[in-house]
Amino acid sequence: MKAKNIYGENVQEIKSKFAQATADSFSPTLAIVFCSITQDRKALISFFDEKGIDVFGSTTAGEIIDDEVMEHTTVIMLLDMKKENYKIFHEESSDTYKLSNDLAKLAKKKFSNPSVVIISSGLTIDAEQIIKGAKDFDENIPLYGGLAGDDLTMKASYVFSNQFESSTGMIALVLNNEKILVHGLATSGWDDIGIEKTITKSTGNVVYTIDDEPAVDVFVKFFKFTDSVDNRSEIVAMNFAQYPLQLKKDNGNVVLRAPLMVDIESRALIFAGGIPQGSKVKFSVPPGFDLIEKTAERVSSLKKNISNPDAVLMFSCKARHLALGPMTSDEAGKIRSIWDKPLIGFFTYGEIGTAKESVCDFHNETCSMVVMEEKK
Amino acid sequence: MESLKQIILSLPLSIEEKDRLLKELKIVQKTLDSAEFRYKRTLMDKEAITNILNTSIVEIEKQKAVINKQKKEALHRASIDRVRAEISSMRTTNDLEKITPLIWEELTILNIPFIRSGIVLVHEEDDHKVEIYLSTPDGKAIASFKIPAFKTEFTQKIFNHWASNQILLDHWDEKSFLAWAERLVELGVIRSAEEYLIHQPPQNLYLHFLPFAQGMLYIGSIGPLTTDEMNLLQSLAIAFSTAYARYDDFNKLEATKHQVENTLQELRSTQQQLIQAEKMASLGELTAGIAHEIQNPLNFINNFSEVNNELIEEIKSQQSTSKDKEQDEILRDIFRNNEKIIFHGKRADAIVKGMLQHSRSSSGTEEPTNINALCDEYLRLSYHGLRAKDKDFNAATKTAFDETIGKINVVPQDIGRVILNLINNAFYAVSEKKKNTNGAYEPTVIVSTKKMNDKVEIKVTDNGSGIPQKILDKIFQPFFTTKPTGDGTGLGLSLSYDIVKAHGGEIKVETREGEGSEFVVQLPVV
Repeated sequence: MKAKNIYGENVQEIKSKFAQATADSFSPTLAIVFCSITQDRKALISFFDEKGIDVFGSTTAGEIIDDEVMEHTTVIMLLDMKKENYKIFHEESSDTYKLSNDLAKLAKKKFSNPSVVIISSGLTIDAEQIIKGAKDFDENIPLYGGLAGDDLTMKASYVFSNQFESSTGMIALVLNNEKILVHGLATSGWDDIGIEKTITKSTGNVVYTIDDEPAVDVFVKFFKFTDSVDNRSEIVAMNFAQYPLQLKKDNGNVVLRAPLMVDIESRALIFAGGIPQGSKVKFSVPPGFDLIEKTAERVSSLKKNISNPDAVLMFSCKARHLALGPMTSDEAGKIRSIWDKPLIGFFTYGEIGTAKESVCDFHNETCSMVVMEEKK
Repeated sequence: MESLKQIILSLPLSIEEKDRLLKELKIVQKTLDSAEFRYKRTLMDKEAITNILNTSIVEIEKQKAVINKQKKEALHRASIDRVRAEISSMRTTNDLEKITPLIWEELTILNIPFIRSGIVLVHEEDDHKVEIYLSTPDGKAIASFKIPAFKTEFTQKIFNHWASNQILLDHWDEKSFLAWAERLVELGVIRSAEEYLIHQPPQNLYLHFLPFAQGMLYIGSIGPLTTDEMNLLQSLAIAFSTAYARYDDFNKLEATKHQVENTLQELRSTQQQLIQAEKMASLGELTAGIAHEIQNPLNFINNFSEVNNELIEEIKSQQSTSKDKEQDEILRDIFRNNEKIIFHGKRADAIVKGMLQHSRSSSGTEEPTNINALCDEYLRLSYHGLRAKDKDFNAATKTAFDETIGKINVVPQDIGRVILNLINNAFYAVSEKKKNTNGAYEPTVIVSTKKMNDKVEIKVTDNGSGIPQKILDKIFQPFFTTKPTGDGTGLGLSLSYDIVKAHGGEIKVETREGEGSEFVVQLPVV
């Protein structure tokens, strides 16, 4: 199949770029749309819907297109994947587990050997339930994806498709593995340092105390920011985001949990993923600036699975963006140059993927890659 | 950067060139941003890593301390377990001596710095005495003594602390140490101060006494011991207490064993005596029976012999002339034979009467009797009686009477008979020896009495030939005699035995062959 990327700062620009992209015989069937909440989703949806193109869309906390990193824009990957080789499902519910479980059932019903790319909206959901819901149904279905973002305004994120839009829903792009080769990898590059600490009080993804000390105070103590911590601001988040916690999970995985926000009254830290009370965590060594090389190296191990993909998807944690700063686009560029094929992605509030020698899990501060190739 | 952008835009260049420059500017901007970002981040990261590592190091040090503590505790436990194992293998009182050096060894293994060690055993019931054993760390004894606690100020202090189960800590300088040593010399419990001090007296001695049930464990060191070390000592003190309690139990066990052995011995000898008594009793019954039966035929023998002689007398008086000399001789022989029969018949009668006397249960009544007078009377009786029979008989007699013996309740005739028998035997023994001795020999018989706590002792001692070992256990048997046939009935001692036993007393003999014998009669004073 063929893939083409277009981007724009408004619907007008998108429309004109679309026209340019389809000037040749390229006739896309599927549009993967990642856009900021400031963009007019509805207009975009109806634009593609009129053209009979399936929309697989999500709001973001920043967009990635090829080797560039954007904000407040819309990025779109147009694919001419055969309609019979994929299906988009969507549903809305406050029961995350049920949602994911249902979608998994639908996927299996559609194809006997499916791969699922899933994006969920909702800022207070327990993302681990997404994985649990799907895996409880069939643990062999490969699962990739992430959480929709909302430019860090923390009001509402959205997933959307033709005739669907929800801030408490899920969309799943189900691919027929018999016809489409799909492989993925999650990698972060943060290693642990120091001795274990205990999360002594937490609910969901809000951590109140670590080793019985207020979470914010702990972080300030270690990372010594004299900048006012009393700022519920991005600056604070940016500072802490590069020091994610390494969380040891029951399934043996070690996943990262990145602090995104600060809650001043309770001196708690809000993470981009749940940390159960009583968990054991460690701090992470800030990776050296060879992180990008390392990440690219790891991702390129997918080459042995797919040497000639048609498209590459990238779900990268917003915390990662904060941590890498101006070098984030370098990372995108380096990864793109592995296959030199169109790459699209966005900055998420959490990623779903399988790290090397692990089982599928919910990550932070991680880059979850999906590489696709439609068989001839 | 914005100003640079403006500058470029205002340059007189073509649009492509401006674009190119702007692109370059963008790249430069990006590079600067990156560099600044990297710089800031490097500083932050460095600080962060330092903080994390420092706190980690602190944590690790804490954990290390915990592990070291646990290691120490494990070592302590191992030491105490070793001591306990030794204690549980104690089997005798001697094994207690093995325990103390073991304790000192464990302390040395654990590097507890001590220069003197000791055990104090407190005897509360025995005048508050303290028993002190002092030794060097390698187990060599320095001193051991036992004194009442009040004898020295320090031992009183030790006692008081023990009594209230308190640890006693003290600190002595050279002077105090010498003063203590001198006081011990004063009390005579150590020979000299030098001996006590071995080397120089320590200039600074820290004394630690830890109480346990039976006393105190003492450790002397040149510096005060740590809480940890004291805790270990306490555990060892308790272990030693267990050992000592075991030792005590063994002692009691040994004492009980002795008692049991003694009782067993007594039982055995009583058994022997019972058997003997049984024998005697049955013999007595037998003889009584036989004697009784024989009396009848004996009577016939005597009577008819006498009748025969009367008949012979009649024949002799009827004969006028002795026509037949042969008949006369025959009659004379028959007469003489009858005499012999009568003689021996009477003898047999006497024997039977003697035996019947023997079996008769004592019908005599007890009355307060002056034993000394009794002895004296029968001594005289016996002596004169024997001198009457044998003019050559001569022996020295001595008496040693305990005047404090008043009167005791006995059957005087019976006891008199016993005394008589013994004295008779004594005289016989010495006169026999006299007959067989050539050289100077003074036959002597001594009769003595003594009052003991609840008994009265009558001794008849002779310096005759003694009684040979192999007949010693037969002498009290009826009919046993060493006298030649016809001399004596052999019933004297067995009769005496019965009489003494009937009085609840004892009759014993001590003899040395060739030197003499001593018969001892013990009678209870009721």
